[in-house]
Order: sequence, then C-alpha cells, then structure tokens
Amino acid sequence: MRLAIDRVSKQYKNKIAVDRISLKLDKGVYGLLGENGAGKTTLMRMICGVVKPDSGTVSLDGMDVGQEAYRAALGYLPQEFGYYPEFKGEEFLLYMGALKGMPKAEARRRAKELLELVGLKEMGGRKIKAFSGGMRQRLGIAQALLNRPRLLVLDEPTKGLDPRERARFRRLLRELGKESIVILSTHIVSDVEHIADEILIMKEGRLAYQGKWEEKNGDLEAFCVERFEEGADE
Amino acid sequence: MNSLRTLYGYEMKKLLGRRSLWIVMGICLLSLVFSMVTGLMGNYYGGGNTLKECYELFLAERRARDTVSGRDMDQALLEEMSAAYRKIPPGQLSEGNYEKTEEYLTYAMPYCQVFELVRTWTGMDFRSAVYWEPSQQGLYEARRAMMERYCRVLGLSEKQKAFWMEKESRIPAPMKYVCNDAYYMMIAICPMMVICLMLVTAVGMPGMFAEERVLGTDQMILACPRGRGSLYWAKLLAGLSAAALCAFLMAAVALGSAFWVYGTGGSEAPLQFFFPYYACPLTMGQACLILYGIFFLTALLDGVFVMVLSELTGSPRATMVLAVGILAIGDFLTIVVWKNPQMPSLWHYAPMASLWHEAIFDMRPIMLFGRCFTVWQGMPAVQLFYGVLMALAGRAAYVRHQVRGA
Repeated sequence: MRLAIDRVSKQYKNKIAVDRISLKLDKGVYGLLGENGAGKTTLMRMICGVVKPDSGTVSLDGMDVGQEAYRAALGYLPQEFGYYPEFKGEEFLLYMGALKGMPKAEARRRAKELLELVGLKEMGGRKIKAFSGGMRQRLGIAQALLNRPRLLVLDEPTKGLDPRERARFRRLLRELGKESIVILSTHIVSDVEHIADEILIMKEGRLAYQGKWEEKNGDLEAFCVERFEEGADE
Repeated sequence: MNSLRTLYGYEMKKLLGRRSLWIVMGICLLSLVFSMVTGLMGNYYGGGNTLKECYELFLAERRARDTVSGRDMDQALLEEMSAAYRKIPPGQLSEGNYEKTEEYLTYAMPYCQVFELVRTWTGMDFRSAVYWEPSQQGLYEARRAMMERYCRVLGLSEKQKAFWMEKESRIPAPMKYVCNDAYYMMIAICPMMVICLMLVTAVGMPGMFAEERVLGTDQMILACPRGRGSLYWAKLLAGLSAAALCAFLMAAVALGSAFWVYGTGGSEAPLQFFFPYYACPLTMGQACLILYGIFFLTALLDGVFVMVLSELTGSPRATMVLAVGILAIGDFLTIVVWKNPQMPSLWHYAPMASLWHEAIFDMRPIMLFGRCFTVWQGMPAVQLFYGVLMALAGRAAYVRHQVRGA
C-alpha cells in the first residue's frame, strides 16, 4: 500500500498554498505539523480529492485521486466537522455509509461498533444538535472510520477532545496505523510525538522536514519551533 | 441503484425536515383558500347602502343561473336573454348601475354569463347588447369574424391560421351554457398558485446544494465514493419530489376549496366562458387538467432551476433572492408578451412561459419540427428540454466543485 504525492501545487490568487510537494507514504501514522497557513489543510484536501491541484498527481496504489475506487479506500475528517443538526448520531453514520457505498446492513453493524468505540453508544439515538463539541468530534472520527479506510486523513482530529479521550484516540490511531496509512494534522505536538511513525513539517507551502522522530532526538516541540523559524529550504 | 434509493431517502428527510418550507407552504395554502373565497366575503353596496352580503348575492345569482344551465345558446335562449335585459329601466343601462336594479335581479340575472359572452364575441357595448336583435346565426358568425380578426392581430401565418380555424370549426354551435363557478375559479387561481409555488421552492430548495457548504458537510461528502455521482441525482430527485408534493398539495387545496364553496358541477362548460377568444373545442374540466398538469411540470422545472442555481451560487440566501427575482421578472415578461399580441411568440419557448395561465391558452402556436402545436401541447416538450439542460449544467458544475475557505 502506497500513497504517492507527486509534485502537487496549489495557488490561491497571489498565495502559493502548496508548492511542489512530493511524498511517498506507506503504512503507518504520519504527523503533519506546521504553523497556521503553512498549507496543511490544502495538502490534505488535495489528498482527499476535494481540492484539485493546479499541478501534480495524487494516487493510492496506482489509483488516481479522482477515481471512485480511491475514495472508497479513503476516510476523511475535515478541520471543521460539518453535521446535520436534525439527524440522529446513528442516522448520520448510516447516511455517510450510504455515501461510501456500503450495504445497509453492514453500515448499520459498523455504525453501532464505531459508536461504541468512540464512546457514543448511548447517544446514537439522540439528535446531533444535542451533542457537545467533543461528542461531535468523536462522531466525526467515527464517520471517517466507517468504511475501514486504507488511507485515513484527519485534520485537527483532537480539537475539542478532553485529555482522556485524546489518549484513547491516540491508542486507536496507533492500531489503525498498523494496517493503513494515517495522516494526522495537528497543532498539538504531543498528539503525534508518541504515535507518529514519521513527522512531516510544512512551512510556507513546502515540506520543511520529513523523517522519523525518536525521544532521543529531544523535544519535538522545540524542534518544530526551530524549523518554523528557519528557512524551508533545508 | 440501491445507494441512490437510500441517499434519496436521506435527502428527502433533510428537505422535508426544514421548518421554513412548511411555514411558507402553510401560508401559501391559506392564501389559496382565502383567494378562493375572498370574492364572497363582505357586503355588496349600492347607492351608499348595503344591499346584500356578497355570499348571499352569489347564492342568488347561482340559483338564477342554474335555471338556464345545461341549455344550448340557441335562438330561444338568446331571445329569452334579450327580453329579460330589456326589462331593465333604460335610465339604469350603464355599467355599475344595472346590476342593482330589481329588474336585473329578478329577470336578467340567469343570463348574465351568456350575456357577457355575447358582448365579448360581438364587441358591443352594454346598451347596444341589450337592444341587439338576437340571432343565433349572427352570434356565431360574429365569433368567427372575431377569431379571424384576432388571428390577423396576432400576425399568424396562413398555416397557423388554418391550424386554428380547423379547431374553431370543431367547436359545437350552438354552444352549451353550463354553470362553471368551481372550474372558473380553479383556472382563475392559477397565477396565485404559481406565485405560491415560486415562494415555496425559493425558500425550500436553495439549501439542497448550497447548505452543504454552509454547514461544512461538503468536504466529507465529496470525499466519499458516491459524493460526486449518485448524490447529485439523489438530491435532484428529492428536490423534484418535494416540488411535486408542494404542487400536488396546492392543486388539491385549490380543487378542494373550489368544490367546497362553488360545488362540483361545470366541468363540461366550454372553455370559451373563461377564454372567449380561444379557438379550441375544450371544456373547462379539460382546461383545468391541462393547466394543473402544466403547473405540475412547472413545479418540477422551477425545482430544478432553484437547485441548480443553489449549486452555482453556493449560497442559500443568494439563491433565494435570485430565484424570486428571476422568476418574478419572467412572470412579468410573460404577462407583457401575452398582453401585446404584436410581440414575437418566441417567449413561448422560454422556460418562464408556463408561469402565466393565459399564455398557456395563447393563440400564437409553438412551432416544432415545422408543425403547429398549441402552447399547452408544445410546452411540456419545451419544459422537458430546459429541465434536462439545467440538470446537466448543474451536474457539470457539481462534479467540478472544489471546497473553498479555510
């Protein structure tokens, strides 16, 4: 399993959001770090096919990002998780299951399983408008996992989660990373420090760093700050 | 196919769950009922005094008209009518006065609709019509001459004129008079129904595509395998079903309240009692079926239009404003074109033409493949063409849609 990103670029008016980024990612958890406006979200959107690159290609095991088969292997949690206030939690997952092309019975079984996994078993029958921010975020995580994705893209997934939920979520990602490609974007360095197999740091639309991170290397946060302050051409 | 059905179900739930849709729908249905009965409310005044309640007057007129309902407009009926109208005192023979005279109420009232039709066909003023020497042959000759004049005014070609004259020849003479209040009202209320329909679709449909962007759900949707394919059609079908449901409810309320207030009879009345200048052997019942059928198609076309607009603008509010604006301008232009016979009939080929009921029974035919069709015959094909065109344009925009914003 390999995600190949080949010289993708995206420009919005005068601003280059992503500048010729190339990556080859195999199974594992990838922590994508960067300052606000570094291009993380644009890169993730291009990986998910919701933003078309101006140039370059994205493919998973040879399948182009525009193909339905690519999206069938994808799970995505956007930075701002949108929801339908009048839908019940389980109903929302079933709707997403239908969008992912899952048979009804399978979607129902998987929805129950995931509601339990994210600690929303009791809330599945309630309308989403009654959920707290953290609950909504957990529902967002559940929908991303619905189709057992081989490529999981999570943009700021721990936003709104309390420390206990965050720890549980990190364990879950570690498990998922054994079988899938998990790309996780966050501002919270500690979220990726212990679980990411590889760290990707973006600065001004370019990749400033890509590599494994081990505790012996020191403090990741300090390393990141140092990278942000340096040029992106190192 | 299964996923399309499932997605359609969810989209219907999203759409029908909108409170605003039902509030506007409720207001519109009440307005329709009110419009149907508003002519019967209040009092009827004359000489500064209250003469009768309008409803009482309607019942009296209805009872009077029922005595001649079902009769042919032949020499005998025309003579009876003429004799009855001549009983009105000569000093009261002016518009606005004669209806209040005892003689009119006692003798002439049963013939009032026949009298109005005679006046329209012969082009006489009120006083001349009263002193007209009744002649069945003269009446139908006057109608034929009027139709030929009208064809000239409309600038119809010889082929088009022959098309209408053939239809005119199939209108039975003498024509039968039938009380037609319910069907008359069902036709008269069509513009109001169209306005209601525009409001309901403008409020209910804009969210279909644009709201996904407002809610921020578009990103997740577009990242799903069915997000760019089946979902578009599911949304479109759901929107069309909701538009059809709204049209059905409006038609049902119009029909129910018309039958409730005015009775169920009159379907076999000739359409010329509503459109005196129309040359087609249609009854009021058939005309209602045609109008309501086209209203139903208009609802579908309007639904597609608003939904596609919502995809193009990406904003429910902008869609709402644009939809109401464009449809209102279209409605206005349709009226202008219909009221000005010299204007080209090209407007019949525009998607808005179905918004005005009188344009549907316009004598300027639709030409398709070198053949003449009445507007109501050609309009479904024109609507289908625009509907498919808009749906495909919307799909092209939807497939290319990219998420914007932070």
